[in-house]
Amino acid sequence: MDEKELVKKAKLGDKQAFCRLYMQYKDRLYRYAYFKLGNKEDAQDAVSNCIAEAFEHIGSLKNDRAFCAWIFKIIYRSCCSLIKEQIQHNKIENIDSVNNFGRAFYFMEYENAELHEALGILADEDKDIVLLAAVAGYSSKEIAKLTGLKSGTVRSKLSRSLAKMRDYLE
Amino acid sequence: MKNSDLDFIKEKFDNSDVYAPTDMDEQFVLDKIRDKKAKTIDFPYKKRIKVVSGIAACIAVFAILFAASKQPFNLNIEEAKTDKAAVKAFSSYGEIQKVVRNIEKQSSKTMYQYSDIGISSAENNILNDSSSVVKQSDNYADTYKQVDSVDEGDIIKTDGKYIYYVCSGGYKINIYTTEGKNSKLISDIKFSPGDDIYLADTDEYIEDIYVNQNTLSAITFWYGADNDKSETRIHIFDLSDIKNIKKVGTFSQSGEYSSSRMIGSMLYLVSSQNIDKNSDVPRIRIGNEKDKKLAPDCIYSVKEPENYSFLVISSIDTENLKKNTQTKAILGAASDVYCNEKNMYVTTNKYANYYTNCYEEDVVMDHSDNNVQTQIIKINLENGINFTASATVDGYINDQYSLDEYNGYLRVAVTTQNKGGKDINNLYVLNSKLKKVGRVTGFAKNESIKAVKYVEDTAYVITYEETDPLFAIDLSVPENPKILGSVKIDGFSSMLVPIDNNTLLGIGFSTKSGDDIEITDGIKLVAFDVKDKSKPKVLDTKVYKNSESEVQYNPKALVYNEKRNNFTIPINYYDNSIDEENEACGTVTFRVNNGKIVIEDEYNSDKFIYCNRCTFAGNTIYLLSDYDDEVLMDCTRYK
Repeated sequence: MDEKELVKKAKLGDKQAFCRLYMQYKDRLYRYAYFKLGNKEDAQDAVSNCIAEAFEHIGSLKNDRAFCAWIFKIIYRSCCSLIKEQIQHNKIENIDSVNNFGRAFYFMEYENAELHEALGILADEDKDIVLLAAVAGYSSKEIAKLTGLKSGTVRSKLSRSLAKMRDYLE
Repeated sequence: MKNSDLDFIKEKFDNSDVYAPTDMDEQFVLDKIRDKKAKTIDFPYKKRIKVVSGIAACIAVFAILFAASKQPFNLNIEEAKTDKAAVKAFSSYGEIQKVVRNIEKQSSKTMYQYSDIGISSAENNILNDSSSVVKQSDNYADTYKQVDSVDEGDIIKTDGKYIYYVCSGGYKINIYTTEGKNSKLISDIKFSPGDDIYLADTDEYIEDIYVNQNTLSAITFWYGADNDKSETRIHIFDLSDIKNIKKVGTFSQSGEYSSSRMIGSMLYLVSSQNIDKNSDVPRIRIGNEKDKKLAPDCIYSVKEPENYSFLVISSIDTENLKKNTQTKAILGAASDVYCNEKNMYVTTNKYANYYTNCYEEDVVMDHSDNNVQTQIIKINLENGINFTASATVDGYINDQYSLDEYNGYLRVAVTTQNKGGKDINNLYVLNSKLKKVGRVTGFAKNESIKAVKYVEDTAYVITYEETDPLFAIDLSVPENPKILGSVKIDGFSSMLVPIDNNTLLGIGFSTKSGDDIEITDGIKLVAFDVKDKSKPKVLDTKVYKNSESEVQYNPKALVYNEKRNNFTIPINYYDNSIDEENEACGTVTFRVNNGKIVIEDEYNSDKFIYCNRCTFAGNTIYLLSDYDDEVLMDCTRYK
C-alpha cells in the first residue's frame, strides 16, 4: 500500500495505518527533534506530542500527498512549544538557563558532538532553517511558509548557514 | 554546484546514527493515541458489530445502517422500512445529549424519542426555484464539474472579464483582468494570517470560491483553538465595483469544511463538527449577530447513531443571506459529496475493526482492513434541506465521482477487501430509499479503484495495481448490473472524461517498475474506444515523462473549451535533481479526434517554474502560479 492510501486510511481513524505512517518517518522525526532540542529526553517528548497531535488532526490534512511536509510541521511546532514551555518554566522557577543548556549536551552521543557543534555556531533561526531543509527535506518555499520568513531570505540564510557548517565540519 | 552544501550537510545528518529509540515503535504509538480520536472520523463500532461486519463482508450484504447494526439476520424487514424511519429529528437538547452520551459509552440502546421529520420541523423555508442555473459560457472557462447544472467551488474562477485566484496559502484572492499580455492585477481580497507562528491555529483561510453574476462567495475555514470551536464561513462580496470590492455578508456554521455546491444563487455548505461530552450542538451565525444554536428539531439522527460528529448542512441564498438560509444537522460526518439538482449524497468512511484490533490484549497487530465502510446520507434539496435516507456499504469510495444518481438509482463503486485481505472492488445499485437492489462484486482482485465515470447506464471503472484495467459495467437493469468487458494498459488514469458515445479519455499517471513496486513517473493521456463495451480498446496514448499536473489529483484542474472542443491542463516538468533551474512549467492543449489524442499546443512559461492552475477567457489561456511567495500570471493565445 502506498503512502497516499495509508494517509487516506489514517484519516478515517485507522490507527494501524497511522502507525505504519509513523514507522516510515520515526527516525527522521526523532532526528529532527534531537538536533533541534539537543537531547534525547526532549526529542522523545516532542515526538510523543507530535504523534498525538498528528493523529487527532490528520483529518484536516487536505492533500494526501503532503503528509511528509505536514508531519514535519507538527514536529516543528511541538519542538517550538517545548522550548517555549521550558523558557516559561525557567522564568517562573527562576532556574538559571545555563542548566538547560548543560542538560542539552549532557546526553549527547560522542559521534554527533561535531554536528551539534556545527549547528551550535548558527543563530537559532538559521539552525531551524538548516534542520528543516536537511532533515525534514523542506524546500525554501515551504520553510518560508512555516517560519513566516520571505523565501528569498530563507534561501540566502540557508546557503550561508550550510556553507558555515561545512567549513566547520571539513 | 548549487546544492552541494545541502547534500553535504544532508549526508552528515543521514549518517549521524541518530535513530528513534527502539521502544518508540508501533505499540508506543498505539499507547499514545489510545484515547485519542481523529477529528473528522467516526467513532469505533461497538464490539459486537465486528461479528456483523464480518458476516456482511462475507456475503456482501448491503444494508441500511441500523439494519446492519441491530438486526443483521433480518435485513429485509428493516430495509423495507420507510425513509422516515431511517432518519429522525430530536425533540429536545436533552435527547441529543443523551444520545451523544450513549455513543460515548458505546451503548447500543436507543433511549430517545423520535419526532417525525416532516411535521415537527418549525421551519418552513422554501428554496428559490433552482432551475435558473447559469448556463455555461463558451467564452470563458467553467470549473470542471461532476454535474453540469451544479457548480463546484474551486480556487480559480473566471467570469470572462476577470480571473479570481485564491493564492498565498489561501489568505488572498487575486483578481486579474483578462486582457491577454496586458492583463494586470486589478484588485485583491485579503484574509490576514496570524502573526504568531505558534498561534497559527487561529488562522482563517480560503478553501473555495464561487463567482455568480456580481457576487463572489469565499468559503473559509477558521480553525478554532478547541475542537468544537472551528467554523466554516462564507464571506460574500459585491463585485460591481471591482476596484472597490465590498463585503456584503458573512455566514458561519460550526465544524470543519467538507464540501459545498451552488445551484443558482443558492449555496449548500457541508461541514463536520466533532462531538465530545463538553461540546455543544451545531450553531450558526449571520453577520455580527449572536451565535444561534440549532433547534433540536433541526438536528437529526439515524436510528442507531454511531458517529462522533455532526454533519452540518446549510442552504444559503447568496443574494439574501437572512431570508432563505436554513441549517440542519445529523449525527454523522462528511468527507465526499455527490450532488445533483435534487439530491445531495454525503459520504463518510467508518472503520469497523480497528478498535478491537488495537485494544484487545491478545490480538496481534493486524493490518488487514477488510472493514472500512462508507456511510451515505441522502439529503433532498427540492423543498429545503431534508434528510431522507441513510445506508452503509462495505468498502471505501475513491472520490465523489464514485457516486452517481441516474433515473432515481444511486450507483456506488467501492474498494474493499476479501477475507484473505486482498483488495476487491464492488459496485452497488441502490434505489431511492437507499435499499440495495443490485450489485457486481469482487472484480479486479488485488487492485483498487482509481477513477470512476458513469455515463447514463454504463459505469466505467479504472482499477490499478500494476496495470490499469478499464472496466465497462452495464447498469441498464439496476437489479442486475453486469461487467461487459475490460482492457488493460500500463499506468493508470485518475479521471475519466467522456468524449462522445464511443470514446473515453483517461487522464492519469504513467508508471515504471521500481525495486519492488510500480512508481509513477509522468502524466499519461489515454483514449479508450468503448463503442463495443464488451471489448473496450486503447486507441491512443500520450505520455509526458518527468512531469506532473494538478489534474492528476484534482479533476477541477482540467480546462475544457467547449467552443474549440479541446482540453488544456497545467503541467510541471522536473528532473531528478533538486536544482530549480531545470524546472519548468506550462500548459498542454489537446483534443481527442477520431480516437487520436492530438496535441494542439505545448506552451512553456518563461515567467515562472511552477503552475498549479490554468483557465481561459476569449482566445487566451491564462496560467497561474503561486510559488515561492510570488503569485504570477502568464498567458498564451490559443493556436
